[in-house]
Amino acid sequence: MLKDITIGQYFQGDSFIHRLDARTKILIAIAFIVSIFIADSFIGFGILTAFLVLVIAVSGIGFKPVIKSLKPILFLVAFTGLINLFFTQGEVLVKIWVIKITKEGLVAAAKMICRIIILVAGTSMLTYTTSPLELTDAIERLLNPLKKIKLPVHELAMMTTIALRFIPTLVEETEKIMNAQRARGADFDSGNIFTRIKALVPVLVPMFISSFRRADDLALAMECRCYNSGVGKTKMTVTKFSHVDLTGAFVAIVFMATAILFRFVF
Amino acid sequence: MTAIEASGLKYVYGVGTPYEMTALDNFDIEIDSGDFVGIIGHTGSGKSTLMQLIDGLIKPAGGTLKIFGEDMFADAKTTARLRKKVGLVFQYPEYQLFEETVEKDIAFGPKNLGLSEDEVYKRVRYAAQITGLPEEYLQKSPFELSGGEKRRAAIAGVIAMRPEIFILDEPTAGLDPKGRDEILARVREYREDTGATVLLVSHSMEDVTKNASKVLVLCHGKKMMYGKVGEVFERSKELLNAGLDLPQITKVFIELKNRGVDVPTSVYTVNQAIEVLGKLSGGGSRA
Ligand SMILES: Nc1ncnc2c1ncn2[C@@H]1O[C@H](COP(=O)(O)OP(=O)(O)OP(=O)(O)O)[C@@H](O)[C@H]1O
Ligand SMILES: [Mg+2]
Repeated sequence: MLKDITIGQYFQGDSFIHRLDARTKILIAIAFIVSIFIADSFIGFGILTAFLVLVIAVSGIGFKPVIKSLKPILFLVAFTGLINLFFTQGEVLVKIWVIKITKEGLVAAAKMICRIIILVAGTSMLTYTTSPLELTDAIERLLNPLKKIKLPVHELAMMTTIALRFIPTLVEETEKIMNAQRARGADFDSGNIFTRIKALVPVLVPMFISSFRRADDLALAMECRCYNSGVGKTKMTVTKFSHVDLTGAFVAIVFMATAILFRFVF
Repeated sequence: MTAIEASGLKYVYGVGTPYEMTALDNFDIEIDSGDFVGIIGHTGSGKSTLMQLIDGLIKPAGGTLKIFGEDMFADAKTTARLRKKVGLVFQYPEYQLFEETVEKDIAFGPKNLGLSEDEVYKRVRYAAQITGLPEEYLQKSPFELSGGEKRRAAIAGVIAMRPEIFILDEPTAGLDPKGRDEILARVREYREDTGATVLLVSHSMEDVTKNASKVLVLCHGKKMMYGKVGEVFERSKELLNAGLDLPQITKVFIELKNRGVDVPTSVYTVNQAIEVLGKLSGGGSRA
């Protein structure tokens, strides 16, 4: 269950996708998200999916981790799907008691499900192929202009790095504590929603305590190494845009533009 | 009677990801009821994985595991029933404490077993007594205890479930020598009291030789040796090659032998050493 949470996970590699500058990937990902919402047609979604499949294939990560990243959102997908299905007005197809399914509802539900799946799979690809370090470095550089309006860009980037860095650790630790409590007979998988929430107390309390301990330790370790919010800090590796980025951006733009065009032209 | 019987047991982490890792492979063993087995192996050799399998917390990718002759993974109900016979104390168990008082925390396990309040009360006192926690500590918050006391409270939480198979995964890690001996003495006491089968995972050879009657050596997810303590430590070369340490006293005897003294190298406790050396000097046994 928890093992399926793959946010923040990074799969090392040396593919074309891995070699793209993190800034390029972030910008492509943002454009991708925007185009999912603009391209409001099934053909558009098809084209975006094709793009995604291409990215996954080129990255060499394999489809399994991407499919796995979708597992935790199954509930969300089902929930939004059902809401759209039942609460959209229009031409009634089936009517059972007070529940009626409309043609528009069916279409809206299908579109919503496509959107969420493409969105999550797409953004997962960003973190799968970009190391957290590159990612936050890129965020920092993209946000750099905002320093002028006194936004603490470096601090924000640092916080993001730390948060991303600790997701897998926390997941692992949760898993460990859950197993430890299971060994004492705790049951997390049965009962109604209230018993289940209550069953989580023996996990949450130790997790809170260990998070605070970790935060303390980390702060201390950073101080010991004279961390000073990056004043006068230089980078060990400064990435530059190259022809790889140009190619990548070009391919991405072609796909997304076509996907969006389908909504307006046809 | 056989308490634990495994054949062809296999476990793989991260199936289908680039991080796929076979932690246990083609593992066979038979552990008799009432034995005290020490489990050793280098870091990452699969000890913790094996312990979690025996407690039914994770499902094997292949092979079978029988607890008192019954298949642990036959179906969910059997797993749930058999798991009650097994008690597992994790590495650093103090991190799992969560209740307001030590008493409530120790009672968590027995309560989950569905025991009556009376019985839970009795079990908590019993576990506290075995682990040497004074009565007045029961009303304290577990977070006020010292590290060693926390460890004891956590172990008490498992003892209170009165497991027939009692597993401890490195229970002495991070404790001082006195604390280690204390905890292990408590474990021995529990075993003598209940006749439970005990599995003790440890990186300390001394912990193993002082307590266990048999030793299981794991190496890269495979069983390397299983036998009486003396038999295993006799094969010192293989152990060293597997990245393991030997008991200090065994090292002394190997060195003696290397220097031409005619002594056996299967000595692993100080008492044995005294006996052997006594014979050597012709003075007979002092022990
Ligand atoms: N949750 C996990 N996810 C992925 N791999 C794991 C996980 N837990 C253990 N492993 C891997 O499985 C192998 C066996 O791990 P295990 O924890 O059983 O070793 P161990 O013998 O208990 O080691 P140690 O002495 O350090 O406690 C290791 O190589 C480890 O990296
Ligand atoms: Mg371990």
